[in-house]
Amino acid sequence: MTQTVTWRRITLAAFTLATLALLLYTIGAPHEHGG
Amino acid sequence: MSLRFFLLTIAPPVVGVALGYLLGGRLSGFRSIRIRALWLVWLAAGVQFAQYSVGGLRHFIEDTLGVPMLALIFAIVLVWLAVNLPRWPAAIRAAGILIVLGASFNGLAIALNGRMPYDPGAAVDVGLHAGIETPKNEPADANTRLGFLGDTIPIPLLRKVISPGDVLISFGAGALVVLAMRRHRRGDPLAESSTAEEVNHEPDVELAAHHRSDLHVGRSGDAALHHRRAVDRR
Repeated sequence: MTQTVTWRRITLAAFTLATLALLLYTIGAPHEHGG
Repeated sequence: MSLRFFLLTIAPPVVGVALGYLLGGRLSGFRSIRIRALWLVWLAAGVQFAQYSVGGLRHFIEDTLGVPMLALIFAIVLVWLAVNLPRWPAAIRAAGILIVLGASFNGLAIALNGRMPYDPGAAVDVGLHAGIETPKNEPADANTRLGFLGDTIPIPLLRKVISPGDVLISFGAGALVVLAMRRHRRGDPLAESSTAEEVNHEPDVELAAHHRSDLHVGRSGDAALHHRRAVDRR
């Protein structure tokens, strides 16, 4: 049961952090091409 | 998306997690804030990915429908922030406002110039070719408006040039993670229920009280006798 909770938390945290990373991917505008 | 670009996008939340732990926070603090409509961010990322990889779709939306894809992406993300910001605690809302400010700086530079202008000198400094135009970037020139809001800050380690708006978005995202993690220590009702799950090892049991207002001090006769085993009653 505890293992289930741990995995649920890890999934939730990973999903939230990935979403924050996507923020930079979407509204961030770093120049990267042409190298 | 290149590996370096991936590192650039993942760095702020990862640094935020490291700082959060150093400052005594825990990832379970995220349970104390409600983040709604995450699918909107993933939708915006999908549109962003499509504008680079699906040429026909980009042509249809921009040329046939007359809607700039970057405007579509920014609108989706700003709607997501508008849905969430009013409901977040004040400190986390401040981090969210930094993200909005950064997005606005980038959006303004893009809106005024058609694409995000980048400093060709800074691009050369990090080993990129100057003068390349992409769906999102174009080299700044004499006609560029508000060029200082464009990509002017070289990051040699990652061979990228970022904008002041990118810095604000990165800082806001990192701060949001730290502040959310530190709410683990605040005794927030939802964080408390998560602690209760840890202690009881029964996470799926419906807790009697989800909010402080649902709790009562009880009386001397309120002991949970029904949980006693037969052997205890002898």
